[in-house]
Amino acid sequence: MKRSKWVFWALCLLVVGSLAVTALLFRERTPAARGNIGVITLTGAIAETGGGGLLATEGITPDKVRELLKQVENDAQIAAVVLRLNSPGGSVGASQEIAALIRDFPRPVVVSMADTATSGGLYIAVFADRIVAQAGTITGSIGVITSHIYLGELYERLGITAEIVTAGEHKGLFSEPLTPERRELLQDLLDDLHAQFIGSVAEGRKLAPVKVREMATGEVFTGARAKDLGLVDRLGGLPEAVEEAAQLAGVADPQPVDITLPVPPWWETLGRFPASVLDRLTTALLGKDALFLQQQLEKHLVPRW
Amino acid sequence: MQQETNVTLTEKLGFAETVIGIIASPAATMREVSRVNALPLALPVFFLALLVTNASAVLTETELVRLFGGPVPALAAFTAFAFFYLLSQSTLSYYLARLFGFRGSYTTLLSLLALANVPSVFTAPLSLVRFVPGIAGALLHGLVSFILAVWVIALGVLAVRETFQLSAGRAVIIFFLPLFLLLLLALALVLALAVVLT
Repeated sequence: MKRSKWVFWALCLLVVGSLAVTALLFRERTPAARGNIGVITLTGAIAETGGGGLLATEGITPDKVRELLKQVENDAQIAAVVLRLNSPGGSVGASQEIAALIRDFPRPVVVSMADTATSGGLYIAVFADRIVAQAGTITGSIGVITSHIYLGELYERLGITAEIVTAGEHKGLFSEPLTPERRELLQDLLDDLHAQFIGSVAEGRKLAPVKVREMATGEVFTGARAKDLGLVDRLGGLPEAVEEAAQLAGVADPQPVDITLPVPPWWETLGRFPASVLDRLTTALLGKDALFLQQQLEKHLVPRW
Repeated sequence: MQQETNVTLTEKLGFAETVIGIIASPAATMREVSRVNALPLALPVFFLALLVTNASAVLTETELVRLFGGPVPALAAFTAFAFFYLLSQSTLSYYLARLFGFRGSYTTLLSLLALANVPSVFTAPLSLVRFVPGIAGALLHGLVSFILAVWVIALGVLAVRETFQLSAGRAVIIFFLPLFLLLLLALALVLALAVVLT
């Protein structure tokens, strides 16, 4: 009996000692893993709010970018940031907010364009200190698009009468058929946004507005062509972008480190599904037409670039 | 059901003797434990072993801890899950054994299955193996983890055997059947979800 008590206390000592050593070793190991060039990966469409969810990794929102840049700002070891960008664009307001965050960021920012950085993807890139793209990256598409969906006939087929009451001559723009006059109003709106896009590209890339206007037909360019046009500074991938960032920040030995958002506690994501699962559920329960209609309505009169 | 006495385990075997007995001579210790009301000692041993295992997990699995919103909620969640699993396994094993006509006490089974977790305290020294660099560290960690898991499972089977006085083969069936049923239930839920989604 006495022997087993000795063995028991030896076991306790082993367990407590192991836990203490593990805690110490992990504490020492964490700072050593940190680097000096932060790499932020931004993938998906740009929108004001994201799908979220435990499994959702795509989608670029101002909140997400703000949070990631704040992490970099709070880390004195990180001298510059590389934004690894893969986006077809998205909503106008969200793009402008993200572009402003990049423009005002106090440390050097380099954008590394992946497969695609078109439209809003290009818009948020232009205020970075440098842009690096592959020769085959698809970029450009300096233009604005929107769609108008009139649901009157669908309501009729479903036996729903929608009575729309408005005050203000053009308040019904969003819910009534598009008249030539209203089409012109909508066109003016898009032209104004297009001019803002051109102005921002000219300002960010330090190009003559007239030159940007020439390329702002909505057409897309390869990375190689974009370099000729002055939209891109250097051809290459992520290593070249890290090299550029290190050069701008005066870092001799660049050590890239991934900057990611902390995983939210599981109860915050409970009941939130990734967009793909919700789409499948909508299709399963309501049919493909319902999903199509939902997707079209999300774009209804929302200018995008 | 087996007749239980009111003699507590602490009167026959102490805390230290029970823990070391489960590690060094499990069959004899479990036989001894099955004769008395072991629950007042078995549950603290179980929670203490769980605390060590979960503390190792909290120290090393930083991403998992972040998912639970911090070390304390993570510890609470891991502990609650392990206790729920112990109760589920004991209850399912007990009723399955009775269905097959075997007789034994539920509290004895719960106590012995709780004590079967004692070797999991070795996850604390095992977590140090993670610091061995390279593939050797990963392999060693995997191998020792596997041995530890087999050890705990073997003790679980022994717990079922001692509770219902079964042969080793029957004990294996009664031990694994609840696990199999829970897996089937999970599979059915996943399949149902897949059918809805496609």
